[in-house]
Amino acid sequence: MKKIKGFAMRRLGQDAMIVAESVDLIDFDKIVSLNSSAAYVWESLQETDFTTQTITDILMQRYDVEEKVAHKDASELVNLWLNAGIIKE
Amino acid sequence: MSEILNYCVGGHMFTLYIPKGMLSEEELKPYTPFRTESCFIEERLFTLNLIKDKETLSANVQVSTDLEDENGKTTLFTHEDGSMTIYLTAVSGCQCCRIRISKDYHTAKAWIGGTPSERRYALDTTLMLLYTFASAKLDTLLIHASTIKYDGKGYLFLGKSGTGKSTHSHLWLEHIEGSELLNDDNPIIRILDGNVYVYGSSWSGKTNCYRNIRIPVGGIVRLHQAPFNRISPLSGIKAYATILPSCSCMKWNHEMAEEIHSTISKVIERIPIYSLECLPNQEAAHLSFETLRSNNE
Repeated sequence: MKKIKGFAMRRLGQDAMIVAESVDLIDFDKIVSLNSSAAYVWESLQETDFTTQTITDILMQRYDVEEKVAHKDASELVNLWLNAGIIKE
Repeated sequence: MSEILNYCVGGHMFTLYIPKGMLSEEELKPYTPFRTESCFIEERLFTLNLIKDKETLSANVQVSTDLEDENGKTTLFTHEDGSMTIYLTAVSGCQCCRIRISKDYHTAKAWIGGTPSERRYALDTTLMLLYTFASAKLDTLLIHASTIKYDGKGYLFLGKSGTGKSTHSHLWLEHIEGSELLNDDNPIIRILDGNVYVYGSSWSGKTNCYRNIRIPVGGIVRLHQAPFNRISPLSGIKAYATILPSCSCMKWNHEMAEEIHSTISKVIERIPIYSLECLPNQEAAHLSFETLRSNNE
């Protein structure tokens, strides 16, 4: 998977969000909110290709969680972001 | 010979150079309450030169972006030196305006044409664009809202076109004694010394309401049509997301988007923000009035 080009992450206090910042995304009027761990994952992913396993690894390195839990969280995040239209297969 | 006119809208000054006879007094009427005698160059937001020759403002650039709304089409061209050309096309299909804006947004030239209503649209749009671009870094928002003044405070009603912003304001005017219309379409929000103010402006949609006054903001409410009346307070990202879509901004321009982000973040820290699901009736006006007033007593 890959991030769709043209989105920017902005911080608001403890929270963060993804907003469209590109002429190509002019009709994208949603704001995708991120909690602190989702924001950490988004920043860590940068512009390279990734899989659910990439996110699982990022979560395990940063937080003291078992792989099973991290994998479940990673899958949820991927589904959420795919549905929101900020990443693509 | 050009006429030089200075204006101060939302506490920001700008200057127009208009060739004699190009714009009538009637066309400049919304701007008249904002006229000032002098304009300090260092405090000037921008200068707009109106010119008679359309052809000198041809873009000569292949790549452009079209943005359309109910008023017409805006075509943007970006030049290599960072300056911009903008064409405005009215709903009739007639190109009624060409604008060339410097990279720093401080100087612009424009040609305006078409029918009287198209010329009005062209002048207002040109000035609103320049105002938005040049003031973004100054904790200023040009916001799409109908605004009521009550007991010295300003209450802004936001919503998509057709939601009933003006209708809700008019319900206040009808049922809440002491309320006045401050602006019906595009007031200005500014943060000064940590306080949030709303200013009337020369842009008020179809309503003639061009008031040169400034008052503290008492609350901001986004309206949603519903078969009932219900008001809910918003905070954090929900409050932020309720304001962002109503603010003028080139959201694809990173620098400007960051500046608007910073201003909105400050506004939501300081001002109560609500979502109002409502019917167009008296009860809705009383509900928003009672809720907003309970925060401002």
